[in-house]
Amino acid sequence: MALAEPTRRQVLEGLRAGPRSVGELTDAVPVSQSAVSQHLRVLREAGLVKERREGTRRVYRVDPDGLSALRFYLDQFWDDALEAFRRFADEEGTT
Amino acid sequence: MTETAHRETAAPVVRTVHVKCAPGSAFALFTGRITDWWPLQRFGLFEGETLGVWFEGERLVERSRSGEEGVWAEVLEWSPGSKLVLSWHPGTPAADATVVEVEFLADDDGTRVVLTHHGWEKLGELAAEARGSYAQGWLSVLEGYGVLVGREA
Repeated sequence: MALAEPTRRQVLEGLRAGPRSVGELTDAVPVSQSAVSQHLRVLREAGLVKERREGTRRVYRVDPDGLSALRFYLDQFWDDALEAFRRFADEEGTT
Repeated sequence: MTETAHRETAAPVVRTVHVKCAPGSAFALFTGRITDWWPLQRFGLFEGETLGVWFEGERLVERSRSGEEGVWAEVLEWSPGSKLVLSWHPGTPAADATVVEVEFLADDDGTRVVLTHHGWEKLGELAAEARGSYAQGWLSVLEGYGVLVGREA
């Protein structure tokens, strides 16, 4: 899920205070700039983060429409929980 | 966002899984053995300190080694073999509860388990009221509500 990866959470945390560029985010987390860019791509595809151009640089911010992010999050959450149930039930259950 | 788009985004979250056993067994395992199947290390209140989570009377409660308890939910409907409805508020006060319905539907080779999470969008709204900023608010909801969500094992 989009937030489960710890560095990705840190990247998102880094945007809580306000919009940041990739370079500014890289200063805040212990991974390379290309890794930060990868995480930002996943977060953007998940609807958690929005991108904007400011002159020559791209700036990222938390998407104010949190509903799509919440929905995405809950979809993943329940899928994980139900999949765990399926594995257990198919091992334990009798018809 | 338009009203229509808002309504669609905020529609109930519906997730389905298929299990091989009959609805009666599926319901019994789902409710009676939740400690054994729920991914507690990732989605729990007490991480490594957890003892498990159980239905105790009308409540679903997680307990820790040090004697703490966290109420995840209250039972709104308990229909063995067919339906379970919970007032769901893990890690948050009961006032912030949303509704989780789990239906157990017989099919040719077992049971279709359909989980519907209603009213989850309220989490974002509550956070917005509390924090005055929607973007900050839902993040804090993901963290607060999300003591259950996205924690690495």
